Amino acid sequence: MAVSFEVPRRGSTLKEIWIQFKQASRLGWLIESNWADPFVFAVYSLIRPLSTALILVFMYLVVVRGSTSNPFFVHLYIGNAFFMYAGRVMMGISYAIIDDREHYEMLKYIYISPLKIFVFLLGRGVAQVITTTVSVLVILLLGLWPLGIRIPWSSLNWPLFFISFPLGIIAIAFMGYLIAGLALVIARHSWAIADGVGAVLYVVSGAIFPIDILPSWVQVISRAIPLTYWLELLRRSLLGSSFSPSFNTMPDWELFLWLVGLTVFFGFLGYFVFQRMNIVARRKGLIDQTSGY
Amino acid sequence: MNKAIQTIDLVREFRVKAGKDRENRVIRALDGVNLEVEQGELFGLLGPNGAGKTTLIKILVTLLYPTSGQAFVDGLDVTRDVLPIRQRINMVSGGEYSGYGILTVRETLWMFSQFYGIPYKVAFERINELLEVVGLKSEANTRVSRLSTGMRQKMNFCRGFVTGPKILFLDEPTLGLDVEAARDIRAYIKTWMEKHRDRTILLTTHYMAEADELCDRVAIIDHGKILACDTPQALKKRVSGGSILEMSLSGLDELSWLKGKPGVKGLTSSSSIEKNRTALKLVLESEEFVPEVIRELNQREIPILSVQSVEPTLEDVFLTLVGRGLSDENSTTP
Amino acid sequence: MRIPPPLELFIRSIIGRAYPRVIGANRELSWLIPETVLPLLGLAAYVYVYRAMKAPTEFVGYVVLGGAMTAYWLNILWSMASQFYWEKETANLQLYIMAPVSPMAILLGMGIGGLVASTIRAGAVIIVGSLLFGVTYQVSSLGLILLVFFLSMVALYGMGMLLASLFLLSGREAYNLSNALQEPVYLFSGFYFPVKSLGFWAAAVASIIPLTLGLDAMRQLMFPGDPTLGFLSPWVECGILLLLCPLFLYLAKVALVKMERAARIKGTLSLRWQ
Ligand SMILES: Nc1ncnc2c1ncn2[C@@H]1O[C@H](COP(=O)(O)OP(=O)(O)OP(=O)(O)O)[C@@H](O)[C@H]1O
Ligand SMILES: [Mg+2]
Repeated sequence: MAVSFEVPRRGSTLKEIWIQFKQASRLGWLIESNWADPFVFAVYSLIRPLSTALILVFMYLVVVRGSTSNPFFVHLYIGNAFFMYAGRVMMGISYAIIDDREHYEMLKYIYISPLKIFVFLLGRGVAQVITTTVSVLVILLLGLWPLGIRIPWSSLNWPLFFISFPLGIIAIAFMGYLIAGLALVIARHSWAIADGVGAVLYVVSGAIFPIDILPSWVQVISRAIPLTYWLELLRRSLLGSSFSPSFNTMPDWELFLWLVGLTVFFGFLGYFVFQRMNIVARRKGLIDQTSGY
Repeated sequence: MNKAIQTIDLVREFRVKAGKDRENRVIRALDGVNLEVEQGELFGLLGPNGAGKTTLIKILVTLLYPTSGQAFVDGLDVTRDVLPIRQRINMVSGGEYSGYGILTVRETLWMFSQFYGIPYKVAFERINELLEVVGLKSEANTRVSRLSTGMRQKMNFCRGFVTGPKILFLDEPTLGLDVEAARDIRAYIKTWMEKHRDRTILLTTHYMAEADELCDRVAIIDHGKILACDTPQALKKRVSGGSILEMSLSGLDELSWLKGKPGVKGLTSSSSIEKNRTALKLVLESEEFVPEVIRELNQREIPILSVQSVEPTLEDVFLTLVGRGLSDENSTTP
Repeated sequence: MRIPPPLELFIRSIIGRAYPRVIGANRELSWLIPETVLPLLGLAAYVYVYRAMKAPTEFVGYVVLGGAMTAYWLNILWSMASQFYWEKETANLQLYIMAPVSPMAILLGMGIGGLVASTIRAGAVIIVGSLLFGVTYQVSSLGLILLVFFLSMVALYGMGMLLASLFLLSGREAYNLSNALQEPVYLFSGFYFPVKSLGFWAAAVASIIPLTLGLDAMRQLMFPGDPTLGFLSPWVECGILLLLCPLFLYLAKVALVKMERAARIKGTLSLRWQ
């Protein structure tokens, strides 16, 4: 990789953080577009997500045998589309750690302070947000036109959407940071960890079904992660109604407060876990490890 | 009796893409090679990087088609009689890994023996013997992923012998091994050949001493052409008519200009920056040219610290024929 | 020099090549955990979707069965189709080609080894998934189920062998293609819903992938709840699979001979040369 990434040495003034963030985004973009020869890009951003969405479409059609404008289907479809951010951004961030460790061996150079790594990873996440947005838009277009999903354009709650959306992305980034911390100390199955957390969240956050259907102990987890509230807020702002009956009575502001609170909580958790694991990793000499695959 | 190996005007070309807009280039890796190796011979193929050694071996082991010309292994045509050739041969390439990290050394060797249909008992007897000889016995049950590079290469070496091939191709078998390991391997090659008189080995190497020590006959190859082919003694005799000088010079001067001087057949030089010295080896057509060379050096005010006349080695044969050293970075390519 | 009888050599080679795959599955048991848990999580999401839609209970069984079968498809993609790419990197491929045995034996060994290793994973998913989601099976003819399974595996691994041969010449393309074929086949082979709902023609085209008919037949035979959900009758599907088996094996053999020849002409049996 002929990309150099310089870490400002002293202080962490806002300007320096901004510079670092920009550099990291650029790096992330270069890495992304590195494997983005058109075919590879199409595979990751179109073929795979479209197939997954269509699996859900056919699952719905075979059981309900009704029209795709049914609110249940619309909620499911929208949830699945936006969940892509969780999967891809979170993985983008934690893979940055694994990737750097195993491919670019850059991690040892960026090991300066947790704040700086955080900014670095966030920058990498930005590149993921951009490419994911492409996929999400394609999926939504597919929903609008051939599948005939109806969105109540006149009653859309844009303000709610535009404050909830970025907040959720930040929450996702924090969770990616958390996983990255765990990936630091797990050499062998670090890929599986990132994939596994994504899969767990897909179930727990109720992306494609109302969480009420989950066993009650799982619902406790659902209510403890920001993604659940984020998806709920997005559905409300776009569709004007809840997916899950148990959220029906909760006003928007309460959902929003939960999202804010949990985002902050995960921010701190991510920070401390990362710092802790960072120390463990250094003490055990795991930073430079490659798992030789 | 059949020749073990015979090639007639063998040519192999590779088409390589030279970038987006530029035209494809054609590399002539073998350029009309004629070679005969007798049964029971240990034959060496010497040549610099890119000379075409590996290409020749790949054709002989049926992994590559010739572009034109013919090649026979044990009297069989490499393009037509593929299966019978494969039954008779094996190949080891130094520096190449083989097998799977998850298997142990013994399992790996057993696995490869199965593709030659060797019964278990015979296979394990041979494996144990081989591991003993190359000093890998204690690692027999170690997973391949935990071996060092050298150990892994020794295992790969054993793989070639396990199947008891009639004709064995060794492509730089000691590449990257430490001195001791390389010595073990050479010793094993010698004993194997003494024990099995009917077997043939074709060996390529960069190490002159290795070829000198092991081989019955040696061919020197460069740019896909065989430049000479004879016993090491006979080859050395060819240059003994001339004179070989080893000089130690003060300073780090560039010496390639010597190449064009009358009487100079080849030279290598290596300089040591710390000592501020240059070691120069010259192959001259005859002793008469010695004063000439010394005069030239004096003219350029290069102080000569010592001059010595030496017996020719295979290296000098190479130097004479190719005009440059084998692993010589300052080589003066004509 | 002993030249072994062809059949003995063939069988020894199959065993030899299958060995690392079978043994590998046992040695790296720790992999079994993520490789069971990941598909389980994936299928859990789909189970809950069906439950939320109040789908008939057999749909849960469909999903568990389909989720387990992903192990085989992943194995085909990553350990058959793109296998020779990795084998080139480690220089094993040229050793296989150079051996005095038909490369079909090597491919068969790869396939059988992969089948055994994947069956361990699929079995774990079936058992845990069934217990977790309370799947009940209504098996009327175990014999036919086993026949269907056997035929679809032979046809599937025949297809894997074909893909491996076709990609003998290629480098990273095989890897990219494996990436591109993962989810779309989950979709078109109906891993999580009855393939019939794709419509007749789409399902018919998708039937070229042996898991499509295999899954459909096994579902009909294990969960006979709603007979209208089956694509074709299990016996017909069996018959088609029976045709696919020799077809793929034959094509694999032809492709292998052609590709080996092409590789020897172009010089692409190894990535590196010294
Ligand atoms: N598969 C291939 N595709 C393209 N060019 C090739 C291929 N194999 C060999 N060549 C080229 O053919 C020439 C001869 O290569 P070969 O590997 O035979 O040399 P060698 O004598 O074995 O060299 P070394 O001492 O470095 O091993 C080189 O220029 C090489 O670049
Ligand atoms: Mg070579």
